[in-house]
Amino acid sequence: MTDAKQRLRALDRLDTPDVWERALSLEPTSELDGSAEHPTRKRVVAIVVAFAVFAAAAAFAWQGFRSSTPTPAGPPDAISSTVLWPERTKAALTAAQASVDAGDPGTAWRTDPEKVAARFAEDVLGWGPAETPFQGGVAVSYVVTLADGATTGSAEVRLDRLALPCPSPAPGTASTCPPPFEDEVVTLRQEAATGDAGIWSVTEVRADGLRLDAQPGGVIQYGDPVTGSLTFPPTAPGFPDFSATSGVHIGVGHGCSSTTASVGIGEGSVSLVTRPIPPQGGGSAVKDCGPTPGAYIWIATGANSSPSDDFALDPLDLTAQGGRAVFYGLTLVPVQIAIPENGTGSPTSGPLTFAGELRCPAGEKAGGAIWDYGSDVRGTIVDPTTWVRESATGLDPALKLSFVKEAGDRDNVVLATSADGSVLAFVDFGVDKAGEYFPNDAEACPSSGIEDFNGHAK
Amino acid sequence: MVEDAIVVDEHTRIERAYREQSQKMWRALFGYTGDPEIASDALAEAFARALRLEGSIQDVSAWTWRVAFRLAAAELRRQRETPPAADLADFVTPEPVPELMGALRALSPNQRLAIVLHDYGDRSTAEVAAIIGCARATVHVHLSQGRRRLRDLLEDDDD
Repeated sequence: MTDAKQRLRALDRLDTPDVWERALSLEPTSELDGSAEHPTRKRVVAIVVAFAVFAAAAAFAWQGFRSSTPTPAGPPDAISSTVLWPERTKAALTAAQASVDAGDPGTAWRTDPEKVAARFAEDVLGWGPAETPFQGGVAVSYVVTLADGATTGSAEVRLDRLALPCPSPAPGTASTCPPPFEDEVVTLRQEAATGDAGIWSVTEVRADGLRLDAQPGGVIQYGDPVTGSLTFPPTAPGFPDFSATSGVHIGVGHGCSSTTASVGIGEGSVSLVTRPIPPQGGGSAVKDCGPTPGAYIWIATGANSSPSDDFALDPLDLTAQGGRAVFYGLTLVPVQIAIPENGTGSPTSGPLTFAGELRCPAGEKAGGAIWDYGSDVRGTIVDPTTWVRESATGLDPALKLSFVKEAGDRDNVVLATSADGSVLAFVDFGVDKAGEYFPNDAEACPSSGIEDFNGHAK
Repeated sequence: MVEDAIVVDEHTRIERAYREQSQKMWRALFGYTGDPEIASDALAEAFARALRLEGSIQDVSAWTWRVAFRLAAAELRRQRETPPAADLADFVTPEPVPELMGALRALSPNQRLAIVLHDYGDRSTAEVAAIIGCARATVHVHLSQGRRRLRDLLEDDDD
C-alpha cells in the first residue's frame, strides 16, 4: 500500500450522511427526463478520453463578456457577436419575438430554453429527437437537463447523449465501436425580451472534450490563430469516418469568409491551427463585412463519409453543404473579428500564450525542461515572482515575469514572457495554510535560457 | 408486469450500488471539495440521475462516480465565481482528518482529484482520466507529484 493510500484512510473516520431518500425525492430537472418512466434498454458506453494536445497560439483582446442590453447592439442587420442560433441578427431576433408575441403556435418552443436546446441538438448536432423509437419501446437518445439556477434571461442546458450498446472486442482485436458522443453544455439567453414570453437563443455551445480558449463576444484579430484542445476517444483512430475540424466563420452564410483547419490524428495527439483561407480571385474575402463583424469559432468532431471535404465549413448552415452532418461533439463560441483596413489580416503566427500547458517556439521541444519538486513544500515564499527571478538559473533577463492567480487549469503561476508575449516558462505554486507559497512544478522552453531552478535537477 | 419487474430490478441495482459505494464516494467527494454540503449534493444528484436513467447505465458504480465528481467540480467552479457563505462549524472532522484536508488543499486541483479518486476511491486511472479529461499518462503524473507532495506536507505536520 502506498503512503498516500495509508494517509487517506483517515477519511474513513468521517461519518457520512445517507442521502438515498433525498436522491429518490429529487425532482427531474427536465420534462424530457420524464422518459425515465419508460424503462430503456440502452446502455451508456463510458467515455474514456485519450489525450489532448493543441497547437497554435492566440492574441485575444477581450471585450466585456456580455452586453447589459437585451438585444445585440448595432444596426438591425448587423451580425451579432453574442447570439448563435436560430437567429444571428437583431432584425431576425426582433421578428422571431414578434411571432411569439402574436401567439404563433409554431414558435411557442422558443420560450422554453430546454426545448430550444433540444431543437439545437436535433437540427444542428444532427442527433434526431431526444426520444426515438427503439425496438418497440421508447429509448432516450439524449437527455436534456436544465441546470439549476436558470432564471430570467440566462440558462444553461446539458445534453447528455447515450451511446448504443457496443460489444467488447474479442481479445487481440480492435474495437469496432464508433466513438462516444460528447456531452454538450448549451448556454442560452433571452436577447429580445426577458420573462415568460421572451424567446431563448443559443449563445454558446461547449462539448466536454472540445475546448476553445475564447470567450463569447471576444475580439480576435483577423488571421490570428486560436488556441484549442481536442480530446480524442481511444476508438477514434479505428473508425475511418471519424474526423475533426476547427475554424472561424465570419458573417452570416457564406457572404464574408470562413477559415477552416483539419485536425490530424497521430498516436493519440492532435494539432489544431486555424488560419485564413486565401481569398479567391485575389481580393479581400472580408472587405464587405465591416470592421468588426460578428463571427464564431468552432471545433467539431463528426462522422464524415468524405474525409477529403471539410464536413463543417459552417456548422450552423449544414444544408448549404449539400448534406447533414452528425456531430459527435461541437463547441461553438461567438466572437468578433477585428479586420484591418486592408482586409488582409495579420500574419498567421502569433505569440505563444499559456493555458495551463507550455508550448515552445517552433524547433524547440515543448516542455523540454521539466522540474518536479520533491522538497521545499513548506510554504516559505512570500513573493513567487521574486523567487523565480532569484532561483531560475540562466533565466534570460529580458523575459518579463508575471504572477497570475489562474491560467488554464493551474492556479498561482509565474509566467516568463518574451517581448512578443510568448510564454516561455512557468512555475506553478501551491499555497500553504499560512498563505505562503511553495513551488509545485515548472517547465521551460530552451529559449527561456533557464537551465535549472535553484539546484533542482530535472 | 414485465416492465414493472424490470424497473424494480433496475431500482434495486442502483440502490445496491448506492449502499456499496455511497460512503466511500461521499468521503472522496469531501476529500476533493472540503465541503460536506457539496459532497452530499453531488452524491444525491448523481444517484437521482441514475434513477432517472434506469436501465440505461451499464456500470452504475463508474457512472455515478463520474457524474458526482463532475457535479462537484462544476459547483467548485461556480463557487469560485460566487463564493458561498459556507458554515462548516457544525461539521466534526476527527483527527487526523483536519491535517489531511489541509494537505489535500495544498495540492493542485488535478493532483487532489487524481489522488482522492485513485488512492482513496480505488478508481482506475482510466476512470480518473475520463473524469479529469486528460490522458492516463497525465493521471500518473498527477498521482506521482501529488503523492510526493502529500507525503512531504504530512511529514512536515508530523514534525
